[in-house]
Amino acid sequence: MSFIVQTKNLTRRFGDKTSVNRVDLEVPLGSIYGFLGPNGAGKTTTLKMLLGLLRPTAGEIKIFGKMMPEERRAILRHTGSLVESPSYYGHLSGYKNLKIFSDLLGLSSKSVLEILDLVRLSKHADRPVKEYSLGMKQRLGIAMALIHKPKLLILDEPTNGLDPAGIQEIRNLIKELPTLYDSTVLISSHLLSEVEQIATHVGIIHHGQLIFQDQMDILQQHRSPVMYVELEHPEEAYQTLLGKGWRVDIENRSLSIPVTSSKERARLFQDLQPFSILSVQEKKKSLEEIFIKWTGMGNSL
Amino acid sequence: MNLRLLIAEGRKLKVISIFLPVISGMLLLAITVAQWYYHFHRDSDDVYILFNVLYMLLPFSIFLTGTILTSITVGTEHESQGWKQILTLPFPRVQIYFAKFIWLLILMLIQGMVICLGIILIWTLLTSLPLPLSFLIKQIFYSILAYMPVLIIQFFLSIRLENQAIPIACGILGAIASRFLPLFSMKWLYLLPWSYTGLVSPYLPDHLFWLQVSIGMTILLLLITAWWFQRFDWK
Repeated sequence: MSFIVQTKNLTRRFGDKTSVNRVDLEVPLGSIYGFLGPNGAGKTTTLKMLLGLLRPTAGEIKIFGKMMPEERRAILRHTGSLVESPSYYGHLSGYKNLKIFSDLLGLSSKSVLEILDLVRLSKHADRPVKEYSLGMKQRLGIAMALIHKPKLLILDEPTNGLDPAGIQEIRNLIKELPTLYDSTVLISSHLLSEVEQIATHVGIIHHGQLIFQDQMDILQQHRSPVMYVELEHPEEAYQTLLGKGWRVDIENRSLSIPVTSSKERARLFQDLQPFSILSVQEKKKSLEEIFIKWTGMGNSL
Repeated sequence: MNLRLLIAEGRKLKVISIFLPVISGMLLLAITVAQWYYHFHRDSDDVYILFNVLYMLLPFSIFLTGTILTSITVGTEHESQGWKQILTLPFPRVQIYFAKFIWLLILMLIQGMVICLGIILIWTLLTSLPLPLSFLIKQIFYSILAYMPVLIIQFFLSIRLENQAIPIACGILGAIASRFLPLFSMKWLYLLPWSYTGLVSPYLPDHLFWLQVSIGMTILLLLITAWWFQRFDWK
């Protein structure tokens, strides 16, 4: 598999604090890579290092096979980014903001009109950006990042502060990018639900360390179902199941037993038959629960 | 220098950044002429005293204009979160730094032009005596050139400190200091960049020496601050 972004032992310290600790990021070509982690986990610091805004304390960064920061300009030529919050000159119109960047990058005026259309800001192009809503400013920020059709798009929490409709809109736009511009997207978020819906690959950073990195499907496989069984004689059943090698927990009159296949489920019912089953419930572990287990944090990491 | 960057920086300028040097130049002219008129009528019949008045007020005006211009120009990038956007463009950071600095220099020169043209106009309207044009041009533009080291310090402070109150306070203190530093007998004080504008007036015999010192200091400070900008971490 070829990686468009690859870091080795990437580390950044601020004084005594290690914000990013030996991170080996691998973003596959053409993927939408969700970079997930709680606030303060080191996501933005990592992204800023990828963009050359911060210098790593140790480790190396390769983007398009080129070294950052040594080949910074060659990398940035094909990279678009939106880090933290959108950058815009409030006293200028949306069109003029984009025109500044298109001229800097040697693009035609047509590219400005195209990108305004893509982010649905054509109607508001001549209004000063200071009059834009938060969602419009965010879309303008994405437009600035996309104006030169970059091969790599780095977005740091792009849906921050948006209403549900705005989030949906940005999400749809991001999903289109790999086919539209042949781009690879690296998107950071602290929201599991967001990453789950758009990412093909996922990396989880916690306390500056990458604790998981793989395809989204692999992460989903960690969601093995758990059977919750209420019984007349739970204590005896508990002891019997333990004796037969089941992983089982007991709470009140109910047992919880993880099962991985339907065969295993059938065997479980067979073993529980003598203890008078009162009710059975099957629950799949949510991603949130997996993360709570891994990071000790809740839904909003 | 990258022309695209220079044009982009020009487009980003707020209207106030373009009007400020003009307004500031006209304000200086108004005060200078008022003072001149006052002296001319009360104490002296020498019309050339205009240049003494100009020498007295010019550094203060240059310092204040430079301080405010720097803070507005750099503050625009801070407000717009523009640094991280512009620094992720495929340009050498040093070119980005110089493009901004060149615009500050251009705006300062606009102020100089306004003052110069204003004095010529007023002189032509009010007196028929010959105008020492070369002296006037040297007086104004030497002062602006001598201000460059301080402009670089202000530029550095404005980039480094997001809160523009501190660079502005430093600029105001510098403006006050610039008026008094050249008057002290402790000559080592003259080495401070805040002294140069008061030392490069053609009135003074060694003004060309101080002009050379200020140009040397400008180059030195530009190199140091550009190197810093190149390596600066944008947290």
